[in-house]
Parts: sequence; C-alpha cells; structure tokens
Amino acid sequence: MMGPECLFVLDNYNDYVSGELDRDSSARVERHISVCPNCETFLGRYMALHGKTVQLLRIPAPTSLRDSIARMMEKV
Amino acid sequence: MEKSEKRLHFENEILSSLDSMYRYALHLTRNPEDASDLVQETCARALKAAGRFRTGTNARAWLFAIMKNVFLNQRRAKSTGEIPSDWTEDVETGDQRFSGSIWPQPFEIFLKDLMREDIERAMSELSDDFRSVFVLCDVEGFSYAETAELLQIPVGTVRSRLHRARASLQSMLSQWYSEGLGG
Repeated sequence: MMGPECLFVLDNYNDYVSGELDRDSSARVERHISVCPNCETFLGRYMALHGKTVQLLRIPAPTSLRDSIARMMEKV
Repeated sequence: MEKSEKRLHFENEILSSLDSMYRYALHLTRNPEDASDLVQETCARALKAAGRFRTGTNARAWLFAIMKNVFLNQRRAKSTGEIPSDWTEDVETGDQRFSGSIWPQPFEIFLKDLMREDIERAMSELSDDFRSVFVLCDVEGFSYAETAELLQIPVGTVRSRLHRARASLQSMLSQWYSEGLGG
C-alpha cells in the first residue's frame, strides 16, 4: 500500500533525477527506496529509461564541423 | 602573431562545447546542414566577441545564448520562418505527474531494444517548449536556473515543462513498443 513516503518520492523524483533536490530531501528519497520495493522498482526503471534516452541523444558534432571551426580559429 | 593565453583558453572552451552546441543547433533547426551552419555562425560571432568573455564564467551558457540569438535573428529575417514557441508562448504552470508507471515487460528487453530512431521520433512529437527544456536540462546538463535564464522563463516553468517532457517521452516509447512499432 502506498504510504506518505511513497507520495514524497512521487512528488520529488523528477527533481531528484535532475539533481535539483536539496540534500535532506534526496536522502529521504534514498532512505525510502531502500525499504520500499515498489518505489525502488519505479525509480530504478524510470532512471534507467531516462538514462538510456539521454545517452542515445548525446551524439557528437560531425568531424567536418569540428575541422571547419578549427580552421576558423587558425585564421583569427 | 602568437595568441594570448586567454584567447587559447577561450578557443578551448568553444571546442569542448562543440558537441553540445551542435546538438542544441540540431534541436533548433531540425536539420544537420542548418545545424552545422548555425554552429559556425555562432562560433564566428563568439570569436569576434571573445574580448567580452570573462574567464571563469560559464562559457557554454554564453555560447548557447549567442546561438539562440543568431537563430532567432535568422528566423526573423526569413518571412516564412516561424519562431519556435519557446520564446513566444505564455508561461505554463502546474505539474503533471508521470502517469505511465507501467513500462512494457520484460522491462530489461524493452530497454535493450530501444533505438535512437525511436527516441528521435518521440522527441519530434514533443512541442518546442518541452523539447527545448529537455535538451538543455537533460541532454546538455544545464541546471533549472541556467535553463530558465537562457530561455527567459521562470524556473517553475522549466521544472514543469521538463517533468512533462520526460513523462511524454516515456509514455510514447512505452506505448509504441507495446504496439510493436518501436522496435
């Protein structure tokens, strides 16, 4: 059954994932997920999917662009 | 003429931000060729204004701000261009809790099968407002406050748009996968 700490996690997990939650609240989230399997699964999966999404979007600039900027810098 | 240490430091800042700048340019232009042109124009302007850059400040945020201005000016110059709603729409308030807490099962297989094409497709379905915030905060790692300053919107709006963007992305990816369209 969902308790007040589960609701706290649900209210704050996005800021937690962003690293924007204050230290005490982050610790509270971590304390709760260490004892609540449902919240642990929820947050674990949420973070895993979020992490993979971000990882796949982090493509590098084309080499041709990098070369062209380097040439631009040589001329200045 | 030999370059000053400050100048070399500035050029290094640009080169180390290049991947990040390219991704943001890609988000703005949605076209690899236009994105490369936008990065080049941004770098040219940044190099010209290098004297105004103060060592120790956030070079990447400064470069992104230049890029945003270059992009907006280019769009304004083209009468057919439509300015993304990032900078024109009213502030949205409120939050939307992630509703799709049930991911496709088995979750590990779903995660493994996820391809960049699926994510790019989901990103293209997001509104400009949501995509901008997601790109800046999550892909490029800017804080809520930095993103708010860059987009000139309140921090609360950054937070709510980011949360909703993430929820929408996860929801779309899960739904497509479950329907057999994502893999």
